[in-house]
Amino acid sequence: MKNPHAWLKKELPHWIQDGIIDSDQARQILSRYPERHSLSWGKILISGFGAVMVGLGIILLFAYNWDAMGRFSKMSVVLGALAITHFFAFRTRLHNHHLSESLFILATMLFGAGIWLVAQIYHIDEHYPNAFLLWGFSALLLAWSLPSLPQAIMTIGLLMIWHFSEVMDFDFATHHALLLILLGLFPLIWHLKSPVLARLVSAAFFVSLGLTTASVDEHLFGSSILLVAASFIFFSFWSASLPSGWLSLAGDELAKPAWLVFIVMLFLMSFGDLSDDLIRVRFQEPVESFYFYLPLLLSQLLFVWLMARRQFSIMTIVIELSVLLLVYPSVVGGVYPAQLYTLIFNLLLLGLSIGLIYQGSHFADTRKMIWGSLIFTALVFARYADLFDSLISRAIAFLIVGGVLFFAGTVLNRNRNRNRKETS
Amino acid sequence: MKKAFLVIAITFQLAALLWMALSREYVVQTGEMVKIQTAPIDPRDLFRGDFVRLDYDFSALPSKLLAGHLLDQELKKGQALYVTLQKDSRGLVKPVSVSDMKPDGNALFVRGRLIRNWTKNKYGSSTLALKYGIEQYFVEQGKGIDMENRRGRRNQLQTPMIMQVALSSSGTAIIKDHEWGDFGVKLTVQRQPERDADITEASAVLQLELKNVSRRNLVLPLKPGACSFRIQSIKTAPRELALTGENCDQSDPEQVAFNPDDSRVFTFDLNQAQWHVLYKDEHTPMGKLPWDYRFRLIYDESVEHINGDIVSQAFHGRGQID
Repeated sequence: MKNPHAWLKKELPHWIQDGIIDSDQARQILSRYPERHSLSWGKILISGFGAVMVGLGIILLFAYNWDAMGRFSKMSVVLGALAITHFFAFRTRLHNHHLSESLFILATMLFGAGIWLVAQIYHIDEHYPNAFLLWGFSALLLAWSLPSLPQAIMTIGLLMIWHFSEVMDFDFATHHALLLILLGLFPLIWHLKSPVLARLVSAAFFVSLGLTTASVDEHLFGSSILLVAASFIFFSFWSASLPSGWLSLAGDELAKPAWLVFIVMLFLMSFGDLSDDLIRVRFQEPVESFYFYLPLLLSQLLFVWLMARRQFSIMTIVIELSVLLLVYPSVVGGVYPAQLYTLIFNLLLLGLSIGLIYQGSHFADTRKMIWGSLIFTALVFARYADLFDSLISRAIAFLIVGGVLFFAGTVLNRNRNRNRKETS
Repeated sequence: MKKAFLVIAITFQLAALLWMALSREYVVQTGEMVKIQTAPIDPRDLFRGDFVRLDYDFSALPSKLLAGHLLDQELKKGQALYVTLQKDSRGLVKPVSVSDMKPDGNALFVRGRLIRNWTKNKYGSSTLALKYGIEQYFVEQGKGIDMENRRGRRNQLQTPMIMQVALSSSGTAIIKDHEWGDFGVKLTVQRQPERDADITEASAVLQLELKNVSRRNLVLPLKPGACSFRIQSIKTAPRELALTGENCDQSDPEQVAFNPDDSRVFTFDLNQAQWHVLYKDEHTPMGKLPWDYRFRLIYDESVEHINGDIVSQAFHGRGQID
């Protein structure tokens, strides 16, 4: 169930009325299932998106750059509009939350418009990513002080544009982007108690880490993000063992982008040519050691913590094995069995996909089933060109893929029908 | 507490905008005004409407202007550099030296940032590419094209655009306004050399039309035989080359009147010894130089009442005009 809190909130009064439970028990049950701060996309589209559009409209309106309007008039209009919007947003925050939220979004858009307008008025052509940093920082302050999920999402978007521009247009690694996410956005997940934000911040962290490490040294990129992904996944294994609460949900959401990163990295390392580039860190600069050994230490501490708590699972072992294989060539150096590595990564990916397909079909979990099928199909397609020369072997490979997926789909349907009958 | 934090967040937005605007306005009001001649091109910014992208004489500087201690160092991309400027009687500035340290005393300077990593030994480059934050000039939508038309295009009369720039004591530059040069210049090829021409016919014959595009009656001192013009290597040329100075009439210049819209055409036969350059210690016709050696013709008499320098488009000695 996606949102048990909302469902329980609706059902519990009936249970109390029917004498099944008393109100204290109802409160206790409800407290076990914290409220999910899911995004109300309808409201976002109507009010948030509307505010963004108004803001963009204002930017474009000023882009016309009337000669007849002096620079003081232009500045007065923008500052006045910003001040008035903040005034009404502030005044309405207690009795009309949604209107206030939309007005604050509009204010942040107006602030961005103001930055570009000042640049236009004074013909400033400086380091343009700084404008996105300033804009994002102001949204971050509002996200903390309101607190506000839409402002947090705007912050993530703006900081990503900033970091992307720094790396792509100027070749700057911008290490402080990671610091800003770690100090500004990760604690905000706690502050907002929002699993949705956990997923977005986690994704943003991986993007930023990838951008930074790739611009330091492209050989560092793979190891660094895979080690961080392993850490996040280990964290989610631990948080899953906690009593149902927002931390458990947040851990699960943090791990979602990490799983994607982990699977993609495993897939890339299943190619012999690519894996050597990805796993052998050169350590030419001290910063490379930092981005390699810190995530390694974190992942291993979490692994030991899981082991100490006897939280074994096949996935924990698969991830730890991948981590150890990955770091061996960089830590030990020298020659490593590249072909054996490629074979092991292929087998790990194959095992992972079959495991997901099995779990998905057996426990009627469509999401796992889809992920397993996608990984399995991608692996077969990737090896299609590498391994199979003759048309007969290619045909057999496709027949096996089709057969496995068809069988798994049949099992999934059967189990879903069985579950449905059992619940009815 | 929560309310106070919210007030701080709101105040931050208002204060940041005010600070951005007021710090620039302060430079505009109190900074030293200089004029910088440009060569614009014409893009459009999706969010900020029409703007003219500006390229300055000091956007690329010869490494010989670098302070001695920097010559063998690696200069990092984005590094702040200070370009000391010299202002002439018309307010136009020219770069004199480049350093990583802020000039002392009353020196006039502008702060720029290096666009590319630079090491003399590593790249053998002779130019430093810098950005000063004044490379875009925003105008009302539709006026960018008008300005481009007035600036002119290839094979057309081109009028120099001059930016009025305020310089703060820390080297920050803010564009205040623009004005137009008094003279328009048009450079055309009268005759190109044959592909297999010998050394005496290896260069082109160029024509330079000079037109008074102002509303004023102007007077230019002109020596016979176009000797009031010299050449200048373009910024990206491997090395700066100078004319040998042979056969040029150094007599007193004649005062030539240019009423508004008056024009006069000068012919430059680059095969003549007058236009030969000193290349590898030899007198060489410009048409025999490698392709990256390109030049501009510059009017070189001292005139205080003319707005803007008179500078032609870049050309190669064989007659290819940019």
